[in-house]
This record gives sequence, C-alpha cells and structure tokens, in this order.
Amino acid sequence: MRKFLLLHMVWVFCAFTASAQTLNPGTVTVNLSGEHILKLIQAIEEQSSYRFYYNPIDLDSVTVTVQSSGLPVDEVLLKALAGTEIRHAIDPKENIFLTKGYSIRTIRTNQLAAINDYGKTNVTIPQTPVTEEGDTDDLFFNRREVERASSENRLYEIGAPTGSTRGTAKLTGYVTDAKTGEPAIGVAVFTEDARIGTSTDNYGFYTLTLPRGRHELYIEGVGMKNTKRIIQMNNTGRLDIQMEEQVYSLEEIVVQSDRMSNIRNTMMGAERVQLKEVKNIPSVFGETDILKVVLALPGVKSAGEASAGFNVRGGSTDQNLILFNDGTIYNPTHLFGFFSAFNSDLVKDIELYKSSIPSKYGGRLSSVLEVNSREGNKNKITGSAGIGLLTTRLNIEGPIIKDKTTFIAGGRITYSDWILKQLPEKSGYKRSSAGFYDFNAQITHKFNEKNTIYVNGYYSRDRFKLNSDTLYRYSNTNASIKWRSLFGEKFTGVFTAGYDRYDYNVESDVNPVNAYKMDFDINQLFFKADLTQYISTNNTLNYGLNTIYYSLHPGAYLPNGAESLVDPRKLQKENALESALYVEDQWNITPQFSATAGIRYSMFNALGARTYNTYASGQPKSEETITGTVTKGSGDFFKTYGGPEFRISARYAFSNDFSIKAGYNTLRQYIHMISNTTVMSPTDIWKLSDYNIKPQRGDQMAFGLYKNFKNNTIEMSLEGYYKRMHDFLDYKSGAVLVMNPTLETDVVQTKGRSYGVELMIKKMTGRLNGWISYAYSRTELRQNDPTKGALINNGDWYPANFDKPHEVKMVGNFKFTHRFSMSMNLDYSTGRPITLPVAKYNYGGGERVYYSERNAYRIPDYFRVDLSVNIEPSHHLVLLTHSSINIGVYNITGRKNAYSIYYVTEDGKINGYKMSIFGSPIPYINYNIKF
Amino acid sequence: MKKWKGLLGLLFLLGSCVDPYDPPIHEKLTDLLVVEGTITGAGFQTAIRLSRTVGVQQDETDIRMETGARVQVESDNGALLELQEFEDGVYTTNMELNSDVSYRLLIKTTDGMEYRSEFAPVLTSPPIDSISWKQEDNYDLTIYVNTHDPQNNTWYYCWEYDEDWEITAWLRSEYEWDGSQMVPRDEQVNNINNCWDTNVSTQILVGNSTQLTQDVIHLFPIRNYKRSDRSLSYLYRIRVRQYALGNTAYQYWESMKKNTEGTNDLFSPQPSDIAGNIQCTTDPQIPVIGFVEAVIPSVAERYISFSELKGWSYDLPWQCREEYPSVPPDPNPLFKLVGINDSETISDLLDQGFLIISQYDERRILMLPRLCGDCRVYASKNKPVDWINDHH
Repeated sequence: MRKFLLLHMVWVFCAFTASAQTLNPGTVTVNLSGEHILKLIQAIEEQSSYRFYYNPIDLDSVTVTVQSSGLPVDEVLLKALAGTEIRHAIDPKENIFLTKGYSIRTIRTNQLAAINDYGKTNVTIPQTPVTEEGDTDDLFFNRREVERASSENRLYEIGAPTGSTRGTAKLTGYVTDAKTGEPAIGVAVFTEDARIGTSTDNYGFYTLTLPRGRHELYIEGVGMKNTKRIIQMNNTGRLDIQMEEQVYSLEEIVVQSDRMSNIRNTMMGAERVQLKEVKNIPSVFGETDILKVVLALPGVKSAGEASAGFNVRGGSTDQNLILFNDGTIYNPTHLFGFFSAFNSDLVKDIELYKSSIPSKYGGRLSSVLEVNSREGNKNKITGSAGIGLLTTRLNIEGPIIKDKTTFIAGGRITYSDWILKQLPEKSGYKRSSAGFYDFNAQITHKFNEKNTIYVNGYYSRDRFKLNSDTLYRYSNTNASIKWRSLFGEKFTGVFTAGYDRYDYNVESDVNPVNAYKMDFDINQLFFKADLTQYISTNNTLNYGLNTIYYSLHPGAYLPNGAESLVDPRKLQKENALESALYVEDQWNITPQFSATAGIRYSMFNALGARTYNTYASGQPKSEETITGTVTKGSGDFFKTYGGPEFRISARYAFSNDFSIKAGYNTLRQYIHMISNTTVMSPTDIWKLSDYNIKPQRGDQMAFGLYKNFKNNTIEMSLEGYYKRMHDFLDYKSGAVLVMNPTLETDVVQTKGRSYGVELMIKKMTGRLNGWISYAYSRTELRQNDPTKGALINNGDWYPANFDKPHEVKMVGNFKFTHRFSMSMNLDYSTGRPITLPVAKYNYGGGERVYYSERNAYRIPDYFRVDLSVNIEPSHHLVLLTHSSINIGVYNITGRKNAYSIYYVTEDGKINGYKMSIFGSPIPYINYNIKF
Repeated sequence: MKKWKGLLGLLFLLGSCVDPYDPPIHEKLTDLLVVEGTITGAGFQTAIRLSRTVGVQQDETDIRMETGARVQVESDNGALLELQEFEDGVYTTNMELNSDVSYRLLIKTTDGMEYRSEFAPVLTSPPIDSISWKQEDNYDLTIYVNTHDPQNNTWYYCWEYDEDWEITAWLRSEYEWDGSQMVPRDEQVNNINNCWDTNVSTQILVGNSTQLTQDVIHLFPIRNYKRSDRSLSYLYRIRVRQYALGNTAYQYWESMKKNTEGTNDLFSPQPSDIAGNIQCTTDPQIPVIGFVEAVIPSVAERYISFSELKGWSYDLPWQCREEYPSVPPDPNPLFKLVGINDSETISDLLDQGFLIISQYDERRILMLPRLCGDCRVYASKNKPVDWINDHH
C-alpha cells in the first residue's frame, strides 16, 4: 500500500512536488557541466525506468548544467532545462516528453502515436493500466487499489470486469488539490449527460451512480482547472482525482453553487462562496471580510454599515446559526462590526442556507452560515501575511507527519489604538483604546484512507474603552474534535464533540461609589453524529442526532473596588438541553425529478436548579400579575418544548439547463438574543427559552426557477418565498433588558411574516465575472394580542427594523491581464424603517418629541459603490514569495448614507440630525504576501 | 453603563458625519395636552403648566399654552383645591401636603375635555448633601450633586436647577458724560460694570441608586461648562432642587430623556414613548403627555467665584483692542482717542454708541463701542434679590 502511494506521488507532474524523495526509484544522481542534453537523457534512462521521447532536431545543440544526488527526475529536468527552450512533461507511465519552445500537458493517444515516429524504441500506446495488488483487508473497494487519477487521456477501470454491461455501479472518491493536497470542495463531478452528476462535500468526497460502461467524467470547480477522466465502469469502485489550481485565476469572483448544480440540486437558497475567489471584493479597510461577502448576496441585509448582525430573508440577527468549524459563534464581529471574526486567510469557504436548511441543522429560524477553515497544506510548510491600515495577519500551514498529519494556524491583531491616539486632545477620545486579536488552528490527522480526525480551536478577544470611562471586553472560544469515518462503501459518518463559549464583561471605575463589573457568558457542550448511507442508486439517507447542553450566566453585577457601594447581584444560572434526531432522504425519482424529504424532531428541556415566577393567565405578564414562584432542583426538567420540523424540497429538471424547485421548511429556536437596539451590540444578552418564554417557531415556503445560459456559464435564478414566525420576541416600550430578573415581563412574543422574490444572474467565468441581483422583500411584525401587553401600532402589521423592500446588488471583476484586475461593488437598497416623532412639545425646560407609530417612516435610500484595483506583481511559480497589492476606495461617490436619524434637545431646542458612518470616500491599501 | 457615545469619536475619524436633517413628516399629531408640574407644599409653590403639542417642523413659538382651564388638586380623602391661572397656561397655588394621603390633578379644558392623573402618594426628597464641582485635565468644569437617604427609601431622583451669575464689562467705564463734560461715573446709581444673568435647566436630570447597597448618589453630574465659559467669569451661583421620584415616574422621565438626549449613538435603543399617569376621562383613546407626582423637594445652592477656577481666561474682543490681531497688527479704527475738550466729537461718538472708557493720556480720552464697557449688552441689571455682594 505504502509503496503504491509513493509511486503515485511521482506521477504528479506539478513543479512543486518536491516530494517523495526517500527510497524513490524515480531519483537520479547526475553531475553534468555544459554537456550535451543527450548525456542527461542517457543518465536518467540508466538510473531509472523513465523513457524519453523527443524530436532529435530539437535537441541538436542543447547543453545542460546540473548537479544532483538523489533528486527526483522531475526536479533534475527542471533544473537542467532552465535557461533552455526545452520543456519536459512526464506521464504516469514514466514516459518523458521533451519539446522545444512550448510545453505540453495533455497527451492524447493520437499525439502519442505521432511522437512515436520520432525515433525512440519500445513505445507502447497507453492501455488500461495494470493494477497493483492492494491491502487484502480492503474489502469494499473490490480489492482494487485507490487510484489517484491525474491523467486525462488514460482509461481508468473501475471495479473488476464482470462481463455484464447492464445495470449501474457506484463510484466514490476524493477530489483533492494536486498542489496542496487539500480537499477540493464543491467541485462538480458529472458525465456528459449533466443529469448524472454530483458535487464533492466538505471533505472533497463524492459518490456517483453510473451505468456500467465507458464514460467521460468531467470535473469542474471554481479556481481549478477543469479536467476530465475516462472511466470504464465495471463495478462499484473508487477513483480519487487530483485537480490543479488555476494559477492565474486569483481574481475570479464567483459565488459558486457549482456549475449546473443549481439546476441539479434539490436545495434552494443555498450559496457557497469560496474565499480565494472573493479576495478582491472591495471592503472598507481592504481586508477580505466574509461577512461583507455574505451581505452581497441577495436576501441578506444589515441595518447599517457598522453593524455586527445580518438579516436573512426577514429574520432577525439572532436567527442565524453561525458555525465556524462546527462551533457556534455568538458574536461574529470585531471592533464594532467593522471586521468579521473570521480570519479570511484560513477560511476555505462559507455556505449560507437561507431556504432549504438541511435536516442536520436546527435551532435557528432564518439561516445557517457555515464557515469552514482550510486544511493545512499536505506537501510543504507555507504561509501568508497581510498588512492593512488597522490589522496585521499571519498564517502558517503544512504537514506534521508526511501524508498523515497537517496543521494550519493563523492569527490577527489590530493596532487600532494608534488611530484613537491621533484624535485631537479636545475631542475627548484621546484616552480611548480599542483592539482585538484572534487565533485559530486546525490539525488534521488521517489514520488511513477511511478515518480522519480534525481538531479545531478558535479564540477571539475584543476590548474597547472609550474616553477612559467604561471598559468593554468580549470573547468567543471554540474547541472541537471531529472524526470522520467511511464505514463501508455506502456508509459514512461524522462525529463531532466540542465546547463553545461567548462571554463579555463591562467594567467602570470612574465614579468610585458606582464602580462596577458586569459579566455575562454562554457555555455550551455539544455532540453531533451525522451519518450518510447510500442506500441505492437513487436514495441517499442522512440521519443522526445533535445534542447541546447549555449553561448560561445571564448576568452578574458586582462592585469594583473597595469604595464601591454597588449591590452585588447575580441572576440565576440558566441550564438547558437541546436535542434533535433527524432523518432525511434524497430520492432521485426519475432523472428529471428528485426530492429531499427530512424530518427533525427537536426537543428542549429547561433544567434546574432554578426558581421561576408564574403569572396569571390571560393577562400581560408584569410584576403585578405574578401569582407565585416555583423552585426546581438541580437537573430537574421544569419545562419541555419540542416538536417535529419538516424539511422538504423537490426539483424537476426540464432540461440540462432548466429546472424548477419548491420547498417547505419548519424550524424552532430555543435561544434568543435580547436586544432593543437596531443592530447587534457586544452587550446584548442571550436568553434560553424557559417556563415563561416560549421557543420561536417559523416556517417557510419557497419556489424557484433556475435557468443556465451559454453552456452553463451564465446562471439565472428566481426564487420566491413566504415565511411566518411565531413567538418572535419584541420589547415593551421602556423595557429594561440587562440584569433583569423578570425579563418575561418586559418582552412580548409577537408574530412576524416576510415574503419576497430574489432574482440573481451570475457569470462565473471569463474576463468579466460576478453577479447582479435584485430582491423585493418585506418583513412585517404584529402584536395584536392585548393579553400579552400593549398593542403596537393598534395591533396592525408594521414593518420590522430591517424591512428594505427593494435591493440591488452587484459584484463584478474585470481582468485586464493576468496580473491586473479591477473589482466593483454596487449596493442599493430602500432606506430602513424608523420611528419619527409626529409632534413636539415643551417639557423639563426644553423641547421634546412625541413618537407614535412604530417604524412608520424610512431613512433615505442607501447607495454605495466601491472600486478596487488588484495587482499581482509576479506569478512565477518558482519564486519563494508571492505578493499582491489591493488598492481601493470604499464608497467612491462619497454619498452620505444615513445610518440613523435622531433628535436632540440642545439649549432647549429640538434639532433633527442624520448620521452617516462613512460619509466620504475611504481609500485603502493592503499588501499580502504568500510564502 | 451605556456610554457608547464615545464611539462617535472613532467614527468621525473614519469619515463619518452628522448633518442637520429635517425628515419629511406628513402626519401631524398635534393638540395633545401636555401637563407638566408637581403637586408640592412645605413652602414650595405648586405650578402646573398646560400646553399643546405642535408639529415637529413648526417653530417653538407655535407651542400654544392652554389657557382658561379649570385645574384642581384632589386628595383621596376628598378635599379639593382649585389652582389659579398665574400666567397663560400656568396654574399655581400654595398648599400644604399631608403625607398620609395621596393627591391627584383634575383638569377641565375649555373644549370640555376632562383629564385626571393617578393618585400619587407624597414623596419627600432627602436633603442634598452637597453640590460639588471639579475641573477636568482640560479645565472643563462639571458641577455635581451628592445626596443620600439614610432611610434607604428614595432610590429615584430628579433634579432641576436655576443658575445666576454676575458678569462684568470687558473694560470698566470710569467716566460718564454729563452733557457738557466728562465726570467720574457714580457706580451707586449708574453702574454698567456689574450685570447679572440667569438660566434654568433644560436637560432632563434623573438618576437612581438602585444598583447600590445604600441609597447614595455620589457625584451625579448636573451641569457642564467648557473652559472659560463667560458664565463663570466673575461670580456664579447654582441652585438645585431635588425631587424624589416613584419608579414609574422615573421610567417616564428616562424614556423622554432617551428620546431626545441619547439617540445619537450606534447602539441606541429604538425610540418609544411610554404612557404617563394622566388620562383623558372624556376619551381614553386620546394620549396625554406628562407625569404628575406629589413631592416635597429639597434645595441647595453653591457659589463659584472666578478666583477658584484654574485655566479660566479670556481674550479681549478685537473691538476693544488698540490693534487688530492681524499680522502685522493694523490699528483698530474703533479704538477712538479723542481730545479731552473735543466735545463735538465726543457727543457724536456717544450718539454712535461709543462709551468713554478712561483717560488715555493727559490730553486724550479713550472711547470704545458699548460692547467693551457696558455689561448690559449681554446681561441685565436684574440683580437676584438674595445675591451675596452689594454691587449695584
């Protein structure tokens, strides 16, 4: 087995594979100085089994100089031929082809025959490869070895010939990046008939059921060179495929929902973004920010520019499940929302589910945002660094044990303090400080072909102190371990266990008597088992269980210092268990029609020890309607909620490039963010459902049309949805949310609905690429139950804070040359609703305003254009470092987009103001280096 | 705790900006009754101010006072006392409060609508311990109030202040003109060097001690002055009235404060109005603005004199200088040097609003615009009755 693998390593003809040096039969020792190239050919042929093919005329007067002892042939040739016009290519059969003035990559059978004329002996036309003997215990791959197929012209036989040409057989395998060995995610693997196809999962794994016989298998991925394999399907078997990165495609900006997979998949509203393709989207400080990329997708909105949260299809900011390598991130931003908490250098891709949410996810109403970090480079230690105006980042990755263990680690730090120090003395902010850092690391260990373990760690910390008054700090901590196993040919499992924590604290010592410290934290332990079973050609079954144990400290308010008279108070700890079982079947009913049906049963147990209030029924909860208290002991289930959630979607493909889809989802949410601000703030508290606060429930119906044009290079999708939310949390006027022991008296559980249409056109290839989208969407809330508290807007539907009906987004990139490209962002939306005063009056010595209807007005429309120029100084593969420079301008038109409208009484007179956060063009420059 | 305002500092640097904005508001919910005031006793005057709301874009002068209304204080033992309209829309009385009973306000406006507040128990504010002040590193001055309730029974506070200050002219006018000649100014009868001005609080000042183990308010900031403010250029006095508040009244004030004094930061809550304790009994659907309680306040005062302040300094206005502050300095044409006996020029200049300041040299006198020597230009001769010095 090991020997076999080594052999295959040599086949990889990438110039960077300086690998497999030890005991390699493909290494040679030569010492030539200015001698004819034939001497080199002779030496290599003597010391190895390689055979050369060339046109003798090409080599007529070529001399080479090379010293090598035990170097691989490929490397020796690379050295020797540098400075000559001769190029070489090695094929898997250890044939070396020398050409003059051009290089070859793919050698087709007929070309080979032509080369054969050029004079050398013992040429054989490539045939079905002889297969080596594999591990005898490798039962389910039919005793055939795993092939790391890298040749396009070779015929790969899958399974032992059975003599039968009828029926189907299953093909599985991994698609990896030939250069780094990392899994290639979301790569489309399909046959000429595009209706038989799939895409690789997060591990680069694919499964495909094909009729027996010969096929051309196409493999296409963004940022990768499209390739194909010729296969002979005899029986069920495996084919691992290596793809090459498209070196000159760094400027591509593509949201990939896998070419043609938008037609094929039953999933709706799923967007995958690969990070290396969005590096050049202009952002405010020039640093690639995945949350800003998410915001460029249709149906995703935010309240304003410096806001941490985002709203998906009318959901609130706490209704998004943000998973970073399986860990839940409660606060996804740094520095007041200007930076996302994810180090883009380490992120491989992000996936946003806004409509069809797979059954394995639950616990939030609106969406799931999955952020996956890359695996470390399997072949060598590499790294990258970036310097921007406010941050520096560094990451390093590489193998620990060759072919077994890799690591990737990265960190970021700000030096934003200096900006505050630049402020003039009289601004009063000179003594302020703000900063953050984060660190994440992943180790991947592959025990064997079937078992891999991933260990992840993430820590981020923010602090800011404004005008040396109050110090705020918050941090995210995540640790997880994941075991992925192939139990059999048709059965894979992923088991994950981990710990997540989010905490913040606030400290003030400016007034010694009132000096305080406030702490809040959420801790959760989770376990997930996700199993996939390929039952038959047309059925794939996913099932599993999730469980989360929550332990939440809703607040402790303590004196800070000896003089402080602050009354130490601690709110009761909240404990709960959230569990779910799910099963989901993907069923290809006919080649045109397929469906996914899933059911997830989720259950939530609020746990003691705790004392809670009971309230008179049929009346608004308030201090006056408390009827008593109940105390439960540690570990007692004092309230259980639960119910089935349905996840159903189906698609019908009229042709290879046109399909329709429909879906229906129901969801439940048991943890709620308690905030009456428009945007997420670091001091928002989270609350578990309990005796008095019911879980939020929601459902969504969606329908979509998908059409591809121009050989699937242009994708168009049109999706419509209607969504309902029940027991959505809203707040009473004047609610106190922090350190409130009877929070249920200050919240109202209301209803919400949202509906909309999203149109998106994407072009993923070519010099000009990007996407343009338009969305019409409405989100409305209603509180019309007088037993729950005061009616809002007389019990009528009213627009939610983030209701922005019209929205146009465009992200585009134009490549002038391989080194030089330009990117543009455009963002237009209707202004968000606000509550404006309808009258003014005199009170307390000054003018005051009277607000009436909630959200009856809107701030002016939002419009912004960003431009950036991306320069890649050199792409030469053999250079030690590669650097790139991004220069750009955020908000190039300098439009003063309103962030908020507010009223202030100044010298007794009321004045209205409009605040814009980025009211002028913001230039930036970023320098990145890869080593 | 919500000191997010500082964030704006960072944002300004990033190109953020705040512009005046007049949003288009079509709906005008005007003519709501606004009731402001406190039922009080113990020598304090009960004054209830009735007015009406106006549209946001209208001028302040459009705020209409509600005149001719019948305003009564009723106690829960049935006693009724009618208030008299002291000036347009302001109804007053002097009464005694009985701390064993609760009081409410009954209002009947000329349009026939009737209103009443909820019964409010009598609250008594603990005495103010002290009014203190402190200068920051940049010499800005903050005035604080300190109090505590030994019974630990108040917890919610509201403050109002009025302030008076004595101010002097930039330059002392030593002479006056008796119509034909210059005579030394008689400051007993014709003092234009010492003037007074007055101001009342315009901000909502509410605080609480509910987070503490004892009912203590320590260094609650009530007034802030930028360095070298002219109000503190000679002698300044602040008088603070402290009211105890009930929990709901406190929330009402707090909400009103947030709506107009604190919504300018990133994480501000959505504005919202909470109901006061006054209802329109004729039509309960009509909102009424205001919260009326029965409180006996406590008062305290503090003087601050210029000599106590650090870093407080002024530049003479250019009109009063011999030379413009330009480079190189130009002579100031308003700096008039007139011959002592040049009566014609002197009376011309007096007619043009100039003052005789002083004798410049043996032959000439200095005349400058009124601004330089007459404090009545920016203040008044209304000296507070209980002012501590004998300046006229």
